[in-house]
Amino acid sequence: MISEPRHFAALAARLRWDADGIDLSADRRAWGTLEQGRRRRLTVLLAGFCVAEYQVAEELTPFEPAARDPATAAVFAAQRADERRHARLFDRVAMVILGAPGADARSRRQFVRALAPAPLLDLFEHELARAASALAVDPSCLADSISLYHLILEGVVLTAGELALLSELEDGSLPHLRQAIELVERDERWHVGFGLRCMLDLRPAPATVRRLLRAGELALQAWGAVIAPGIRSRVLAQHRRRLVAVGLLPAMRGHDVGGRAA
Amino acid sequence: MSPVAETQLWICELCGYVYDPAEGDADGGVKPGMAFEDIPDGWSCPVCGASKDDFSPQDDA
Repeated sequence: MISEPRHFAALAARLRWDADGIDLSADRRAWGTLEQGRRRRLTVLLAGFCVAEYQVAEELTPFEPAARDPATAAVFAAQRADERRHARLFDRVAMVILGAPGADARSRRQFVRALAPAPLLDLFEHELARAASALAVDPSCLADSISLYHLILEGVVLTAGELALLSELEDGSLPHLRQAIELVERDERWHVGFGLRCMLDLRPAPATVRRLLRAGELALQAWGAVIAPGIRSRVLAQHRRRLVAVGLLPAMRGHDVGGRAA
Repeated sequence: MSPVAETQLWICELCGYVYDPAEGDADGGVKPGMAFEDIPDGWSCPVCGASKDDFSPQDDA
């Protein structure tokens, strides 16, 4: 079972934070002291997020008018505010941490695009853009679009990236960046929950839901080697488990109590 | 366990998942009929992975 849309609107209002209120200057100084391999992995992850968060902020626009009711439309609007906040945060990360040159966000994004994995760019700049374009002209595509946006890109790809970032930042070397990633990851949780709520309301075909499992595995490969095997399996197990928990997939044979897979 | 606890819904404050004792959490190994308080501490939210501490009773249960 998952909450009604009005719950998500209240949650979004309660969790609001300021992307410009996080001071990254000390993290910038610490960045230069990191071991080269770690800096390289963090660069790939952060560059990927700079592109991905900009794209999800842009491509969420047609979801709101396609919503079936005003309460759901209002939550899409609240989510769009979140995504813009994330995009602003990662533009600052591009500037301050990655040292991206440029007078505006677009030119800084061009710089970091070259540092992000090509398959990730394809997912967010092409596949997501295609889904959003289709939704803009045909609201009946909403379930397919939410499947990609909320369940695959947010629920699998971005969640895995956030866990990888948090793991890389676990030792507190860049504490303000870590705090920012924690806030983004917290927002992502309700976005995924809201996507599940929408899917339940839209009653997608069972075959559509079954395809999500394989789609998640394939999409996760876009990050390449920066996602450790442990995070990969944890995220994919959670992906399957949440589809079962809300009734979109039939339950599998249960584990012992407390012996969760994810 | 009181009858109230056996029917009380609990909501994950992070993702909106609602634990319903009538349904349990089959994929997480929790059988139908188990009150939230009786679920082991190691259990996590099936939607977002949050801990039991991130749940609160749902008021309109």
